[in-house]
Amino acid sequence: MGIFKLLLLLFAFGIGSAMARPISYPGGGTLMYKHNAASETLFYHYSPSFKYSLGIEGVQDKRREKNYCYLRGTYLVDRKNTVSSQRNLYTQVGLSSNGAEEYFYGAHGDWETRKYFMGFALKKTQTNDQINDFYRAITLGVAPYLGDYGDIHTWLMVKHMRDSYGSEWETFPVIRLFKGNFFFEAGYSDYTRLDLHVMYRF
Amino acid sequence: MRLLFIYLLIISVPTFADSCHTGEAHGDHAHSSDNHVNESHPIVVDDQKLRTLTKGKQNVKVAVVSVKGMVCDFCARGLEKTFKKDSSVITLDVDLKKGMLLIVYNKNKEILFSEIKKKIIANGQEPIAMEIREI
Repeated sequence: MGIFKLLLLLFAFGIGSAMARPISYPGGGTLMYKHNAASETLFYHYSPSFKYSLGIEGVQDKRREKNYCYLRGTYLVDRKNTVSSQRNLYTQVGLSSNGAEEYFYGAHGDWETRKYFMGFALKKTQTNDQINDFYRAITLGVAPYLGDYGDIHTWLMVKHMRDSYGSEWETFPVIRLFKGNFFFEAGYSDYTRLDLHVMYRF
Repeated sequence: MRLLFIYLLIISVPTFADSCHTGEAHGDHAHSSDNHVNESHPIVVDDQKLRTLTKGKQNVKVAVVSVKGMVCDFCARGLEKTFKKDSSVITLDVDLKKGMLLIVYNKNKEILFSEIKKKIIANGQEPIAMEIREI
């Protein structure tokens, strides 16, 4: 078992704790659009509780030149709330419409205060045409000002990422904005091109 | 190994932050007065925010609840949606700076911390203290 597979298992089965925004409030739904050099996806998920969400994701896979869907599940393994911070660890799994041989699994987590943000993501994608991907990312962020409830909130971030298609780690700036139920995030590098993430919560 | 290091950093920072934060209550069931649940945790209300929230409203009560984990606007949205489903809630606001949820109820409503606590916990956050202000 490789070190990354071991780490994934450690994260997935709860050494420590963490979380992010892949799960909404109980009874809430979320629509997400993501775009980068590798793919374009549209994902809807519903959260029966704050612990997990279930959803469906349509994928336009640019590298494999295929379109397919994932049935996705995300589970909050652990959350730590304090007066000034929140930390989360999630695991996720997706089953492809291309058959049982295609799926993904992974983990992601974050820790944030009103001023600082740290997050990581790991995602292993298995395909039936020998092109498997292991995505790894670390994100650090700082809020340039502290907005009140209902204001536009801004995060200036740096993302350090790598996937199996790239030959080395990429580091690039990201801006994250959100107001109310609307969330927007965009970054750019020569490798990923425009890394866009838009989300709306119902 | 780099990812393991980052993960260990992420899980260790909140513990450090907790130890640095003074005034955090450990326990949420001390009922030492009618209007303040958990007196070991001070409720610091932003009076300006309270005035704005209750402007033009009479015969109302405001439950000011201190909540752990309410650090971002996006995560507080779920609390707003949950409490607004309750017909006895007139309006509410969130004070991100102080980590407070301000819920305006009809004066006839019996405000129970246990009821509020249940809703907040179901959203993934942790209430630690509450004070009731009559307007």
